[in-house]
Amino acid sequence: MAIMYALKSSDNEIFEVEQKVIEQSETIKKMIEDGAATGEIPLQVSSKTLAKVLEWCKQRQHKTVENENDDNKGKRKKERDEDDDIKEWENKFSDELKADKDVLFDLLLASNYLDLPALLSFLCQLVADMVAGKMPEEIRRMFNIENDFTPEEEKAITAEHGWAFQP
Amino acid sequence: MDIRKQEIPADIVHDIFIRLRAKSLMRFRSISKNWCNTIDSFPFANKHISTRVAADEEPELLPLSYFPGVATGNEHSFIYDGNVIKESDIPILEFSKDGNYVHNVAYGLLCFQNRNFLGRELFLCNPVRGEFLKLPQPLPATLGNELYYEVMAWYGIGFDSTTNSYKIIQVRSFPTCINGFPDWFLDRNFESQVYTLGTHSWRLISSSVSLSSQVRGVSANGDMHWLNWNNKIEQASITSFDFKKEEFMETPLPNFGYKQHYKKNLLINLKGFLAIVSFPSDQYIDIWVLKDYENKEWAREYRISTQVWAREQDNTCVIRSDLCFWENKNFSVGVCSNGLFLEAYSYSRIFVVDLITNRIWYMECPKSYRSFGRTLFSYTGSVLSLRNFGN
Repeated sequence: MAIMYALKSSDNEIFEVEQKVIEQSETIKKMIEDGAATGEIPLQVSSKTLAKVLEWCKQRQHKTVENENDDNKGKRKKERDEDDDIKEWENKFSDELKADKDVLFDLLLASNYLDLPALLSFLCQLVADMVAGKMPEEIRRMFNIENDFTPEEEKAITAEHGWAFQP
Repeated sequence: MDIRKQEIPADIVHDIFIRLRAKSLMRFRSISKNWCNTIDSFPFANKHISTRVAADEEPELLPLSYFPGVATGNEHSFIYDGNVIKESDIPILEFSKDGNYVHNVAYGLLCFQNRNFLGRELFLCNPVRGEFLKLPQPLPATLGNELYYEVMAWYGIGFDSTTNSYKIIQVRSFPTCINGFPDWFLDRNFESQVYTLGTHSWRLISSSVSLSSQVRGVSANGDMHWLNWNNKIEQASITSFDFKKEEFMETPLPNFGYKQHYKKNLLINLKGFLAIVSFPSDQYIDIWVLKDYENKEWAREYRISTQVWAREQDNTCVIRSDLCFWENKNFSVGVCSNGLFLEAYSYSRIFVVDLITNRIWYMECPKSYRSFGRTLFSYTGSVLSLRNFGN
């Protein structure tokens, strides 16, 4: 029987998760090893975000288990099919995040806090693809960044590399 | 918890930025002072370029004239998007003066020489920044007379990750002189020196080397590599320069498993790895990749049929059954995203070895691509500011 842990979100929702799934998070793994994880594990992550984190972890876990059970015969074909499945799943996951940027940034911070390198790297690539080719003003809005240049400074810095602002 | 009001930690911003093209980053400098400082920082530029060389959409192909002085006006790099060859949107060089000759390109930097009636000057250029850095004069030769026109010089650019410094290597060879006159039948003398960016002068290197003529070095894994051919024993080898130890060493060739004329191999940097394009027969092109640089382990990653394909409106067809690389000695190779460009001096066309479809395409080039008399370089844009090393 799989060992289950209870994760508590910042808005007090409880998630029952298998140890193997949640151990992908180095932060939680360490908490379990240190014996700090008795009863509910409180996390500074909202329930909406935590649900997304677990969605990712379960998919990854699923993938690892299948690979372990593989024998070598016909593996290449199977791997290819699996790769297609994963791609499809990742595309769906990305589309959902692109549609809700609050969740995306929330998840970015959560993956950092929970120490999930694969998710962090996946999200960084997603954000990079989203921002590439965009104009500074769009990025400021997206990241909620204040423009601290004076108009003169901004004009100068833009003029310095005018070619970079061409579409 | 409203995360958007929370600032994104600097290391996450870094992680996102290193995945962006230099063009996006130059644009994002104007977002805020903080972002500008991040993009302008020396450690970030180093991390960025080392990550970008492995990126899918890099590198771009940079064909430059090998005739000194022919490179004038705007030079462009090109991309192959899997369908067509297009001009890149990164400016490369505006050569205002005649007599420029590009020796090598690596880490987004061009190392070139300007020869005019006053003498020779060596420069580094980062086209993305529009910056030029004049390098100190190399040390005078101790082994030969520099005035002989037969003096040959090779240049390479490297990055020493132990000291986080960029270095330039120069190797020169001189004919051996008897009673003050060069004797062409004797082995040539070689001398090498290194310049570390940000320092004041070149340093002679005691490690000895011998290179074949006319072979341009390839930068990979932080070091420089030259394919060498020994005429006497009819054997090929790879001579590498280790920028950390500042010494030459031999990198073993792959175990090809077939007899072939090693002289026809071409050395490239493929997604950050040292690689060899070899022509085992008139049927195939092989690409071997040095997957493990520390343990010198090669793997044959590609085997591509020498059939040449043409794209004609919505359909494809074979236009010739084999491209005779075998017979042709003078191939020039350049790496770009999605494939390799092969230029043969006896052909007036460009052949693109597409590494996604595993096919060789016969391609039309944009007008600005002059295919004659060019050396093909690979180029990945860097945001490194040369102001880090002086004015």
